[in-house]
Amino acid sequence: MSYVAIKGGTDAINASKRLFEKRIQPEKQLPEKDLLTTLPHSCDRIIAEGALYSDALAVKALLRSGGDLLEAAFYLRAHRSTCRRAGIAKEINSDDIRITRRISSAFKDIDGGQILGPSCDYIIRLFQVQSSDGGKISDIAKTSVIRAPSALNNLRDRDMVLLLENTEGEAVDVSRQFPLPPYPRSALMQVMSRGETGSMLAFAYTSMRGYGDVHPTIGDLRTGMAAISFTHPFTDGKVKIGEIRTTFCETVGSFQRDPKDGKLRLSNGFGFCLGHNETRAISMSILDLAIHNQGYSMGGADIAANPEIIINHIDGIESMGFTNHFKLPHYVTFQADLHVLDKARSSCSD
Amino acid sequence: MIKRVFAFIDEDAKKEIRRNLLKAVAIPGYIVPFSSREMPVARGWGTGGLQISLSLLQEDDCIKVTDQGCDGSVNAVNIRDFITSVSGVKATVNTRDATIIQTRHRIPEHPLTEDQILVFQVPYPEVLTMVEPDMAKQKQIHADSDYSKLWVLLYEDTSQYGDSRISNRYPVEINSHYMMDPSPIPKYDIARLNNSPALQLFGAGREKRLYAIPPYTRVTPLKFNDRPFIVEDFKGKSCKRCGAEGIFLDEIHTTGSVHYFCSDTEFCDNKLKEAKDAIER
Amino acid sequence: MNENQNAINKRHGDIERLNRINFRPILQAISRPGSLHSIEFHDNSGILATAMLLLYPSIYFYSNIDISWDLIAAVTGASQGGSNTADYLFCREPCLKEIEVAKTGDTENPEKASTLLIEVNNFSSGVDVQLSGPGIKNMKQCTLPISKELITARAEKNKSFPMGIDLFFLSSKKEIMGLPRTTKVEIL
Repeated sequence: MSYVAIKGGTDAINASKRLFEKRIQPEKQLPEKDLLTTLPHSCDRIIAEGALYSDALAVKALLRSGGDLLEAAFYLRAHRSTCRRAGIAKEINSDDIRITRRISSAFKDIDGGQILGPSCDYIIRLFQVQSSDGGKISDIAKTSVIRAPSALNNLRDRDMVLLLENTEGEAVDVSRQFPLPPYPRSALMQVMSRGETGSMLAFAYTSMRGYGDVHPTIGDLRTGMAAISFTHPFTDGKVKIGEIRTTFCETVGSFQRDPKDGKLRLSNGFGFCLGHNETRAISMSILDLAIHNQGYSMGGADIAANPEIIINHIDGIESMGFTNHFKLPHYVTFQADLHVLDKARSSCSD
Repeated sequence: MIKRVFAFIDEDAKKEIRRNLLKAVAIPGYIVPFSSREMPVARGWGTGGLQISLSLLQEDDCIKVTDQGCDGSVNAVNIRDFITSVSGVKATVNTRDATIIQTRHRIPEHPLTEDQILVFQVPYPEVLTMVEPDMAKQKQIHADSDYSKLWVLLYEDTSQYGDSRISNRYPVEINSHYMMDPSPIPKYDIARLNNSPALQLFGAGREKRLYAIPPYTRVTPLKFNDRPFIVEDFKGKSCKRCGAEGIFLDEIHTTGSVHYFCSDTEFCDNKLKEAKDAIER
Repeated sequence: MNENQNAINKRHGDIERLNRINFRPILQAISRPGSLHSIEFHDNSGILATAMLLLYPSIYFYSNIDISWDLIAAVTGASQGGSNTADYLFCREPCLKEIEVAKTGDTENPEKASTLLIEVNNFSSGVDVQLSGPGIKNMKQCTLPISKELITARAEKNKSFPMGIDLFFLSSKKEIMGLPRTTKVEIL
């Protein structure tokens, strides 16, 4: 019987790390630039959940983690903690982005058109190679810069869409100060925009499947390049510092009386993420709809409509960490449990 | 591209943690929200304690990291290596030599001094989680100092099982005001929180909360006046390795028998060494 | 440009070092009310050193001391506010009015209270008091380097715990003393 066996020990830990490295075979890994171009959706998910827009670091993280996307996002989050915030960029208007794909399921015809762009939505998931139809991608699709207003703007012009009151003034940044309940919408939106894709999907799915009343219609779903601008520190002018890949989604929910003036209007929800990930953006817009338009939902107490549940359970870095912490030794606490059980058993048998 | 920062976290984040630590000490037992940066170790693995340690560190510190009483435990090793690699400070397993001690689930056996700071890793900072999950309501309960739900739980347990079923994370009252979660230390360690010469800080990274017990502060377990606070009992048992008695022991179950060893391995090693030195003298 | 950047980085590094040196005594000061702890100055000033340590973006501060606070705001990213909104008040006596209007937080959020850092000449003259409360082993006798009026005003602010204000005193001899809201002060 060895006392040391139940303790970890530095050597064992180091050996475990070496074994992991051996398993992912760094010497055989693909060049970083190829990974970015051939696995763009992996990188986009890492960027979104890691809440740090860096292709270079996303690819490094993907390699380090052996392809585990949540682990990879974790690398980015950890790196964020060492970075000082340089400033706050100007807000982005989704109408202004350079569109790569944009659809609306609410309207057949929309200003700017339905632009399918690159998507795997229409691919039949068969392993056998399907021969390309030999068709050409038009020059317009390859070169033109497309911008279009939201497909919901027509409804807005006709005063049919509810506008939530902005009671916040300045948006919260949860990475600087995590708010207490009642949670400001900006905080919830930020937590959701960096939430774990699968968790977002599952929570949103509860709402759309029956535990809620949200069967939304996608008003405008778009991916594209958004310009990031800063105020120049010396000239005070607006300067563009670069472009980022983004996904936006506006969904339309049911109508009800607007508390402001008693008129009937449509509710809507908004979703956004870094990179191209439509499932995330749609899920987020449904959660936003459920949480912030509770009057429009059958069950305000449902999971997806509960801001306390969403804000505290949707972050993958947190839920993964805590789930895995159960692997840490708990023998002191478990032994204490057994002592209490012993006492209770003898007390109950008296 | 990647600039090295002393003790990993950027300066503004350290400032926020430091500000909240000062508040935590000024309001003993009150849980202060903080923004809680992500660490390169996973949430739930001591990131709250780690952020506190990193915000405290200066060049001439000597850090000890221990997990369930053992400095050789996987996570303790990892955290200690990380801290020393980003700060260059000395590390020790010896409780007496440490200026900062980061711990999970135990308080070292060797008595602490005024020159030391004990940093606890905390999974659930909120003592009320077991009776009230809603954060807004929890805040209200603390504001009203109305801990009746905890008392009811204690009463129900006592009437059904003879005592509270809470084996660790036993609720404590700080300076006759706030009820506080002392982190998952065993009941044996609860009494040792009371009137400690060392400053005791608590960090919950995932839950984004930190709190403190200043030195020389009254800490009492939640208990009815006419009921004794019963801690883990090791009467008549001693460490099989060093022979120590009257301390917290690990129970090792093997086929047909139970063996006892010091939970605090540094304490055990020191006792053995002292015995060996005495023989050599 | 590069040289400039290096100089800036070095200055940042120096301030970060100063901050970590000064945090421990200030933490000990608030943990052990009435005891003296040594700090290091910044530009010959304890107030400046603590301002560097405590101020960051999203923090509001106020001061009745005439130094170039605009520069400190620019360096730390903190904003100047009124004595009734500031998180930190850097003061010299008289500062009775400042104490009276300083934030005490509310019962749910007692941490949203002000901390006053008061610059004093020394710790040898002042009001002899007996302190008790968390951080103090039994009782402690010491001299508080402020007026009786200020001590009374402080007691008034701190009468309903957990709400209250926390104080620090900074002397020209590079010493700091803390007085959290929990400390009972009895004038001898």
